[in-house]
Amino acid sequence: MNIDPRAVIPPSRQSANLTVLAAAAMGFLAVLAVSMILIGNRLAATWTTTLAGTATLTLPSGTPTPDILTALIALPNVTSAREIPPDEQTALLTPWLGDAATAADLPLPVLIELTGEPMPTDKIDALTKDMGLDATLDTHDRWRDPLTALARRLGVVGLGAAVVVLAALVAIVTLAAQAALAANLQVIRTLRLVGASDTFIARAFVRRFTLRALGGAIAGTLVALILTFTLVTSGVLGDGVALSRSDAPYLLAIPLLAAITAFLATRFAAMATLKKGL
Amino acid sequence: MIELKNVTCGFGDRPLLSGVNIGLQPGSFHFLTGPSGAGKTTLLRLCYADLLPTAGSVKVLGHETSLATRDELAAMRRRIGVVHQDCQFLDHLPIEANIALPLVVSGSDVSAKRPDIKELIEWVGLGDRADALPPVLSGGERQRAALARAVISSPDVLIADEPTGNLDWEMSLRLLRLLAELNRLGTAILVATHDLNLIRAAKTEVQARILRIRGGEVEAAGADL
Repeated sequence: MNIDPRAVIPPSRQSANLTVLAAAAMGFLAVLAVSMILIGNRLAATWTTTLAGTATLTLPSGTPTPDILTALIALPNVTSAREIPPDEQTALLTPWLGDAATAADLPLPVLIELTGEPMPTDKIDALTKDMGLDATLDTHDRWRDPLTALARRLGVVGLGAAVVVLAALVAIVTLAAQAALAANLQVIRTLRLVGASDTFIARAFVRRFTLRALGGAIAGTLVALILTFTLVTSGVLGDGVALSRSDAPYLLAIPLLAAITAFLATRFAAMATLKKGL
Repeated sequence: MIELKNVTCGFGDRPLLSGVNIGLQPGSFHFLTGPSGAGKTTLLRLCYADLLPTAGSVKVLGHETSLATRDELAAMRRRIGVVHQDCQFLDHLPIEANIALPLVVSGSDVSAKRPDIKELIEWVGLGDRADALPPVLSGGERQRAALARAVISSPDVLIADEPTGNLDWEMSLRLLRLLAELNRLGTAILVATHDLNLIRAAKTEVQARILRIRGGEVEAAGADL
């Protein structure tokens, strides 16, 4: 005979099932929230990386380009300078203007696509001034900045959702632990009678609830991961949406975080309840 | 070992015990008697720190109970065996595990002490009931199991509250002999009972002092019992 100290608390199937179910639901929601943050961040990063290191120089329609292209490519950091041909410009405008974009008399400016990191904007401005050109340089900041801000806001919203999910888990586990303590008052009295310390009694409850939360959160995480993976690979969320291996630690940490949360919530609830008696 | 000085204790406005002074020495045997509701259980609860006095001082195994930390109180209870009136078992564990409970909470290696547990179960006459769950035991079996649990960790003091309350006379005498045997081994014993026949019968078994609660005060008794 070897008595596991955890066995001093009688099994409680109903509250056990509820705790596991609640932890599974919380794990599921937390994984979805964190996945959305990670996917949002990745999309924003892809977009900003694509736009970073590029710039568009706009010149008045009919401006000759060979000299300016040669001068631009000679500037430090500029790796390429390409004039965007009219048909390519027309293709870019078609979604906005429809058939009008193909009209021959549409005064299209001269667009030069530049690549280089970091972009020597001062030198490009100086060059166009020296050459007497009425040029406008667009470094795409006005596109990139809203995307960065959107990614940051998505992150805050996702983090907020994850915090709410954790808070709900704390509340559920605390209530379940308090219910278990109330249902086992006679057991606690008996344990006290034979000299059990608060720590011994609390540990029996804490272990049980931590394991239940861990088990539930693992199940919820697995289901959410399968769902997220299916949505990402099926393309339902759109092109370029993906999760990578580097995201795995964040997602796999969720059951662990749920277990730690349950551990702390149960311990706090148990010690607070036990201190009410002698 | 246990010392109560000018102890007052009660619930609500009316003190149940007032100005109580008693001392339990190592190896002593005390009976505590008095009518129902006189405060016997309250006095015992003070002695194993399940209750704190409203006034006065209760010193148990060197610790002032009102000043002791919660861990000190728990450690104190591990050195006191208690046979409670309603026994208080963990109903989901077999009797053998219930008897071993004080060893579990004190972190002892229960498997290493299994022969001692078996021997103790035999000593209280429950050899064939070791695997039974508490709810299926009779009143007498539960009292004896409670006694076995109270002495499993060789306590310095054994406190019993109406230990023969559910027993017939023959079983009461058997329990009394077990208590006397423990006392001879050096355990201080305090037994609360309203059964005067039991106290009279004990005169042939042990040298016991008799304390009587009357009007909230504790007085020595003996010749008139």
